[in-house]
Formats: sequence, C-alpha cells, structure tokens
Amino acid sequence: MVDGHSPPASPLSQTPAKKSKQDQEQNQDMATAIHPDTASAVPTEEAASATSSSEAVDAPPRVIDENTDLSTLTDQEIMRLTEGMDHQEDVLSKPLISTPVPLLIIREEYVRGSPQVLKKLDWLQEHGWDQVWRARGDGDCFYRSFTLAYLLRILHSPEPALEANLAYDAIQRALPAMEESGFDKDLYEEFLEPLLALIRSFAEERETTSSEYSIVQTLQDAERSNCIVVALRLLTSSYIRTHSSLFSPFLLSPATFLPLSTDDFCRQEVEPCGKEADHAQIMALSEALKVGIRVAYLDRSEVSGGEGDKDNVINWVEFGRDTTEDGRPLTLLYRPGHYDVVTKDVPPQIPDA
Amino acid sequence: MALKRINKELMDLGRDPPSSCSAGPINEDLFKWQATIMGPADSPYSGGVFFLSLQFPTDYPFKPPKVQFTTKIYHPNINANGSICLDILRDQWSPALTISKVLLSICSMLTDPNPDDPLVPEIANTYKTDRPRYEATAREWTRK
Repeated sequence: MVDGHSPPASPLSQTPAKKSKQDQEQNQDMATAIHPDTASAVPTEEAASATSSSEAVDAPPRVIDENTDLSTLTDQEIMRLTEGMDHQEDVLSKPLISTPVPLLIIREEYVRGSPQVLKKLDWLQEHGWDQVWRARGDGDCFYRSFTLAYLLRILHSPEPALEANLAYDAIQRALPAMEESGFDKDLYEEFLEPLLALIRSFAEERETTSSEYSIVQTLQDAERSNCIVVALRLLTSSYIRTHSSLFSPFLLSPATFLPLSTDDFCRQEVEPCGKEADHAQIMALSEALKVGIRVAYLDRSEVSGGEGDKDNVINWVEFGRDTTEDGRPLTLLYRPGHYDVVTKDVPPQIPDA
Repeated sequence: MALKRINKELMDLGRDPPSSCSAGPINEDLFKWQATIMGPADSPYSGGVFFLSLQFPTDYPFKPPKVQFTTKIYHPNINANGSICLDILRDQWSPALTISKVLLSICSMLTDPNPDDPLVPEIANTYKTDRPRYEATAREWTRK
C-alpha cells in the first residue's frame, strides 16, 4: 500500500489545473469556474495595482452576498473577498480548528441561498456526512483541514496502531525529498515534531492522547498547529520540486495566470504561510504522503448521474490513487476560497470544555 | 519556539558564516540583532560596510523578522528610513527561511536592484534611465 519509490502514474492527469483555468475564463457555467486558486491571491503590489487600474475602478463594486451566483465572480471580486477574509477581526477570534458542528449549521447559512448548494448539503446529510470541523479562514485552512482529516483517519481506522505506523513510514519516506530540495534538516524536523508526536502516541495506543480531543487540542494550539502547517507546506513544496517535470505545466500564478517556474511557484505559493492551496498543492501532498483526498465542492453547479451512483449530486474532486470508500480518503468540504473537514458516523468524543 | 530557533540560527551563523555578512545580538536581548553587509564587489556599493538592525517577532519564525538598514544607502528598494522592499520580508516570508538567507538575499538585491517594484521611485527611475548617474551616486553615498 505504501510504496515510496514507484513514480505516480500521472498525478496531474486527473487535475488539469491549467485546463480548469482556461475553462474558468471561457466557460463560466462549468463547475470549474469556482476554482480554489482564484481565491488564493494575497495581492502582491503588482496585483493590487493591476486591480486598481482595471474595470474595478470604473464600475462600483456590486454587493456580494449568499445569493450571488458564485460562478459570476470576477477574479477581482474574489481577490477582494479573500482579502477581506484575511483582515476580518472575527477570523482571528475563531479557533484554528473547531470541534465538530452539525452539518445542519452550514445548511442554515444557505437556507436563503443557492438551491443547488442546499441539494448538495442535503445529499451529504442523507448519506451520513453529518459533522463539519471548521478551519479558520486564514489561508492555511487546507493544510489544517488535511491534518485533522489525516489524524482522524488513523484514529478511526480498524487498526489504529498499524495505520499510525504506516503513516509514520510514509512521512519518513517523504523526507529525502525535503533534503534534496535544500531544506535545512534541523528546521523541518522541528516543524514535523508535533505531528510525529501525535502519530507516535497513536502507534503506541496511549489512551491519554489517542483521542479526537488530543487532535483538536494540538491543532488549536497556535505553535504546534502552525508547525504542522509549515511541515506540510514543506512536504508539498519538496514533492513539487522533486517532480518538477510533472508539475511545471500546471504551475501558474493565481494572480496573473502566468506560468511560474517551479522554484518561484514553491517560494511564492507553497512555502509562505497564508497562501491558499490549489489543485497542484493538494495533488502533491496527496502523493507525498500516499493518501487519497476527495473534496466535495459546494458550488452552484448541477451535478447528477455520476458513475455508479445516479443519485450523487456532489461535484467530487479527487486526488491520489484510492479515493473509493474502501480507501478511506480524506474528505473535505470546499466552499469558494475555503476548506473544512466533513466526517460521518463518528460519535463525538469531545468533552465540553 | 522563537528563542530556540533564534539560538539555533545564531549557532549556525557562528559555525558557518555566510561570506560578506555577519549578524548577532546587540546585548542580552536575543530578539534584537545587528547585522553587517559588505558591499558586493560587483556593485557600486563595493568597499562599503552597511549596518542593519534586526528585530524578531515573538512568534518567529512564523512571522518574518523586521530588517532595516541603519547605514544610509542609495538604492531603489531601500528608503531614507532604511526600510527594505523585499518580498521575503513580507508576504513571501516562509518559516523555512533564516537570517542567513535573508542577508544573502539583501546582498543580491544590492547587486541587482528591482526597479519594477521600487520603494524610492526617483532612484528607480534614475537606475532605469541613467545607469552611470545611479552608479556614481550610489558610489558617492557608499564612501560617506
């Protein structure tokens, strides 16, 4: 199952990030119109000046609320929304990751919004996806959601100790690429330690730490949580750097859509904290740690008659090799510009704080 | 973590100092450093020694250090207060970067200014339109 040496068959064949971007510009009614990368731009000075000199100046900004058709958002609008998110005071008052809340709470937010999104939320609810773990909207939400889902996957596996050992090995196997990419061993080992410490405690089945509570506690602690985010960013970067020929056609600036060199992409879009993850980053992390990821896109697209399941109304975007139910992929919720974790059939074990 | 990391960087700098730069704490406060950069030989800053102040935030390395020139310098990306316009000191800071790498980036910025993202537009303009005058002025400021 864990095979660190065979190259990935073609990691990007399933995620034509570049194509998505073209679709986005040309084919607004496609689901791909709401692509995470468009929301990822923390505006650089160039981008900011580009925005101010474009039509945004001429037309007064329209009001964007939950009834706005998200597929009509322009890049400038998405950029403005994300920028606003970064600076909202209430963002900082939210926990880095929440304890689970019922999916119905998310549904509440859409009751007067898009019927398509409601349909998708109802489908999730009916199929047992009834819990959401919300990540803070600080640009690191994908990496924090990934960590939570990754650790829950180990904790709730039939054999947690075995699964923890497999995860530990997978991480160890990803380390040579870090060194090859020029990262200082002492530095990345320190960033990885909080994650490895939890995984080790799962492997040893220590009762005090093998719980959802200890996962949430670690991810709510700013220092340990940010260490793990940085560690995952470096793992992602080193996978892209060491598989440059596979990724380079898909590495574009989210602000300008111009191609970036692998080094520039990793330095600008992967390694700094607060930079949103796009398809390339998600694919790289999925491959680096050999774990499947599937993302439920809560967009306004109409989806029906998926292969094998005609009732499936969800636009699932899948990464990695095994994203079937048996492969127990990490399952994330995506709303434009933001990732959360969605889980099912797991009784809450967290005591009231 | 900040203090541990700062100590590690200090030790690394002592063990393997980057050429033409040095850095270390001014007194017992490990969060305040002073650095020096020798003007690169292939630049108009050659022969100059430039002092910088470094201030680490309490959540270092998750946030970038504040780095400023305390020596006056004529450069499109460095203003009269010594503030530096450098992407890795702002939104492209990564916790995997170190003071050593920051100082090396500043050195290469002295050799290759970035006039398209200027902090001092007049100097950037001179750099773009009248390179000999830019070099002469930079050399003159360096001698002072």
